[in-house]
Formats: sequence, structure tokens, C-alpha cells
Amino acid sequence: MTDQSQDKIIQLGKYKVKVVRNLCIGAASCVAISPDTFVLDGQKKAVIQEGSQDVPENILMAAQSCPTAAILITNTETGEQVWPS
Amino acid sequence: MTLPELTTPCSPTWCPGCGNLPIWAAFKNAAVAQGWDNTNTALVAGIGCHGHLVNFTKLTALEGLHGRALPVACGLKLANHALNVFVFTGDGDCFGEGGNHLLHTARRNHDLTVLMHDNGLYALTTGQTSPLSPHGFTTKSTPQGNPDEPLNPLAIAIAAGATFVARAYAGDIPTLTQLIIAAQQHRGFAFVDVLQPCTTYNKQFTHQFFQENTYQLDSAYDPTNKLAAYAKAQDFGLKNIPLGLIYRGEKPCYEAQIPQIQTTPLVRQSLVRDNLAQLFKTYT
Repeated sequence: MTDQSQDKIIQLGKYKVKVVRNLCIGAASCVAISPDTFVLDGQKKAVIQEGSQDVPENILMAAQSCPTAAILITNTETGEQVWPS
Repeated sequence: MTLPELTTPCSPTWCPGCGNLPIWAAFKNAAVAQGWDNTNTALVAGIGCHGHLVNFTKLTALEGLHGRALPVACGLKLANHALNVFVFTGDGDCFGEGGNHLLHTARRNHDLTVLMHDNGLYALTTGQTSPLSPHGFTTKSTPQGNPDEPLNPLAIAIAAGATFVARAYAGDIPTLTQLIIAAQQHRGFAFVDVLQPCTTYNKQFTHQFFQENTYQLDSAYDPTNKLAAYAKAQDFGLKNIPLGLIYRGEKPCYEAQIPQIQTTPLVRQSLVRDNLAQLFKTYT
């Protein structure tokens, strides 16, 4: 089990986005897909940039590109976790 | 150009965690930082997963036959040597089908920037050994383990005559971005071996493996010492994979030695409509 209690949740448009740091391996796939939303910090872990203007489809694709499914996305309009589905 | 302007509407089709994604990101970062656009830059790719990069990047691009990216790039550069020409190739494309082309493009020191996406196998065809796969490596084509020893890409590039030889890890986007810029600014054949995890077919060279076993060369290392560079190129093992500029040499690039293009790129020259009758008479 991973401790997700310290992982920040950021609201971006209709999505709540969270990076589970213990799962992130720094593959940087999310950074490649949505550089406006994700950057790697000094520990080579993905962090979310507040205020990202990227479109929801691209943010979702960035999450789907993660090899360890470390990015969780919830649609706050429906309450549904859309990724991992 | 901005990052969004450099991206085509085609969504990347690479696998989750594929090392092509951060290589693509680093190249785009470098392009934005340096102002590479359709007025000054062209891309050439070979065949393989890496080749999809040109479909997702909104820059003029050609895709060669398997292993033939380099001769296409040489022709492009000779036709218009004012262009920045980038070559994207894979380890199979570059050292399998294209090995001969690599040797002679490096030997002639063509002014090209080559990024070799090195995932240690043929991934587009679902995972067969490439000339860079490790000895004993198990794949679909070598179920009992690879009986062949891998080629050493850096040592071969140095020996063949490349004048900028470097290695990077795909997942370190900031460092790779700077290395791509440095490679492009070098006048001559710049070869960058980009260690790239294939999350689907290569379970040995993972992101974790590269993060735990690579290190950046520091300022104490002298990349202008060719023999030391050749020795450094031999290092590839646990906790011992050097990254950074391995070798930098100085010699004129091929394009600087062709008299016909010293004042004007070939593409901007007028066609010469000579009468060939006298030549035919002389040689027939």
C-alpha cells in the first residue's frame, strides 16, 4: 500500500488531478504530453502546476501515458474517477 | 514557435511510459528555446517507434526507408546546408539496416544532429533483438537468449569519425534538452545515444534501471581526449553508465569542403543549362 495522504490534489477545470508520489518513477510521459500541467521536481517526481490552461482531453491523455498509473483524475461534475478507470 | 504550435493534432500513439515521449518533449523544448521552425529546420526519421515523432511534431519532415534516414538527411543537407537537419533513428534502424550509412556519414563528418532512440530492441515489430541488445537477452526472436554480443554505439561513432558523441537518458528532459541544443550547435556529425526505456518489450532497461545506474560526467572529464573518450565509451554496467558529452573533435564538416556550395546553398542556385554534347563526344 502507498501512503497517498500527503499527495496534493489540484482542481483543473472539471478535473481533480492527483499524482501519487510513491508510484511516480519519473518517466516524464505526462510532462511530454502536457508540459503546461506537469513538471518534474528535484526528486524526479511529477508535480502538478496550478493554473494549467491545458484542455481536459490532454490532461487525461497525460495521465493515461503514465506507466505506473500514478496520476488519478476525478471528474468533479460527475464525481466519477475517470482514470484509472 | 510555441510548444502548442509545434504539436500536430495527432495524439502520440506510444505506449504508457515509452521513452519516446520525453525525447519528443526535450526536442520540442529545444526547438522553442532556439527558434527552430519551418524556415530553418527539417527533420528526418527512419523506421521504428521513434519515427512516429515526425507525425506529432509540426516541422517539415521526411521519413526514409528502414535504416536510410542518414542518406536522406545527407542529401537534404547538401541541397540546403543552411537548414538545421535533425535525424531521428532507432538502435535497430541505425546499427542494423543502417549501419553502413552511419559509418560513412560519421566518416565524412556531415553537419547533422542525430538522436538515436536506443531501447535495445526492435519495438515497432513487437520486440526482437537489435544489434544493441545485450548478450543473453531474451526476446521473441531469441527465446533461448541472444547469442550475439552487442555493438558499442559510442565507440563505433568515435572510431568512424563523428566529432560530437554523447549519451543521454530520455527521462531527464532538462538535461537532454540542453544536450540536443549543444549537439545542434556543433558543426559536424553530432551523434547522441539516447537511452530510452521500452516499457512494453524491454524489461531489463527500465526507467528505474537507468535512474539507478547512470551518472553525469563532470567537468573533470576531458571530452577532447579521443583515447580517453574511446575508453569511457566502453563503460556500460551497474552504477557505471556515463552520460553527457563523451567526445568532441574539431575538423571541417563535409558541407564546408564542397566548393560548389560555399557561397550559396544549392537550392538557391540557378540551374546551369550547359550543352552536354561536347562531354558526350569526349567520353563516348
